Amino acid sequence: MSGGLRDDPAFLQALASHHDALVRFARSLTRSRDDAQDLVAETILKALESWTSVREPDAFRTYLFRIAHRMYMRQQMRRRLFGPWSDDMERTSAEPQPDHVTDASLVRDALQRLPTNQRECLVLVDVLGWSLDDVVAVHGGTVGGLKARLFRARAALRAAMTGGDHDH
Amino acid sequence: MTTEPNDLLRPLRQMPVDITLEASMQRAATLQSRHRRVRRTTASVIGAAMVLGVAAYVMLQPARMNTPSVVRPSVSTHVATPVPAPVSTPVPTPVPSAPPATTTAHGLRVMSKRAVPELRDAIIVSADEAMMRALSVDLTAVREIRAHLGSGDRVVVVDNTTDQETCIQVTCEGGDARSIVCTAPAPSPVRVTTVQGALLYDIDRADGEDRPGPYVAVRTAAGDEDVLLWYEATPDLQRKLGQVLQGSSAARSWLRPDRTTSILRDIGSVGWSSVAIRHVDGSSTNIAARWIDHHDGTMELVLQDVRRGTYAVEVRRADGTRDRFLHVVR
Repeated sequence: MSGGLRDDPAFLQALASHHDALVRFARSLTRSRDDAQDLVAETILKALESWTSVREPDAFRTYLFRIAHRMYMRQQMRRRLFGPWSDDMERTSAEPQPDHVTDASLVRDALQRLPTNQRECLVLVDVLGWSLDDVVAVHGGTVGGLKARLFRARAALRAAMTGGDHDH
Repeated sequence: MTTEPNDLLRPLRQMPVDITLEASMQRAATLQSRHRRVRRTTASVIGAAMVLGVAAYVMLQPARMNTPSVVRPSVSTHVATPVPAPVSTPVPTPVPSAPPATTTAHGLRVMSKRAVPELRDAIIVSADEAMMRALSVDLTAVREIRAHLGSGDRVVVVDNTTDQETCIQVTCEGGDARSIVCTAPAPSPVRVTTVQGALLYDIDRADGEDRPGPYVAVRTAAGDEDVLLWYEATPDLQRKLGQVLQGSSAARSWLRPDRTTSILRDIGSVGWSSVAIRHVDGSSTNIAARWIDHHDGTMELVLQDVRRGTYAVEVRRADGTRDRFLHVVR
């Protein structure tokens, strides 16, 4: 492993406590495991660059997910500009998949039809269980605006999964 | 946690985390080395481009800052014999020569920050002393500077003090600044070259502003040699040029009521393949041109939708040669 990444035990310790949430965030938003792994790795690299500026340990999660948010936006931008690099979808083997894998894949597909900001907020609140205040700390805006966004996102997701219309 | 009645996102919540911290760190390390490689490659490419740019600049510098390899110690101030054909002698387009050095035999060097005026495709007007006077150009300053360049000082700045007076200050090596000559208000050339296009000296504007062109080159005798004086093609200069050419041997014709005009040109035995009509400063026009071969050694050039003024006509002959002349439409 190259130098620098493991040189800071404090960073590793702080990262370890949020890594699973970060992976879940990335897996929920992206359509393939590779993309998720890239998103997590890029977030870690970026977070390491200036993490010493995070003075309060409690602020690390917000710091980390704010970076993840930016990295995800950048990934989306690249995808829009250059298109998917290769087979973008979760590769499914010929073997029968466990139900949770199939279900998760369906939900991810449905999430992709939502606007990016709605998608992220929905994952942070409904998948990771964040409070509205915490999400606002990452995304900015107001709690009222976030509530409205969540309402629209849930309606859109329901419509996407059931094939019905929803009112934006 | 959620207010969604159907809890659609439960599969994502219950999804096992299939990327370990160790795997993430490995991937991050891979990305880090890839980023470093990309940065190194980018830096190498930029560095190589800069080196190439500097090398190209250094190689092209002599062409920009050329002075003649030998500068005569002095230049006669008597009026040279006027050029026989006073106006619009077709002159082959001079191409900037690439002299070996910017330093003369006397150690002279002229400094210039300005770009080389475009020599290619320039219309060159041949002018005698009388015509230069009609253009308000006094050649004394040109000769004085040429004489001064031959004095053995290293000239680092040649600068005129105003745009409307040929008032030249030459700063020599050692800080010796001398005003050479100050004549009546007259346009000042921005550059003086040999007829082949090799730089004799530049004249920088006192306010430091660039004069990007277009230019009109006037060929005239300065001392015992012909030089090209490069002027900004200002509307004032073009107007004066048009007035001067009225009585000259440039092609002249009257504008007809239907806004057409025509002239006859001797062509010998070689026909024309194309004709381009431009303004004197080299800018394009919307004038349509057609030509009629009378099969008696003359060609009739007909211009349509034309206005009064002076135009630069470039004819490409069937054998590939070109003929350039000025056409005054009255």
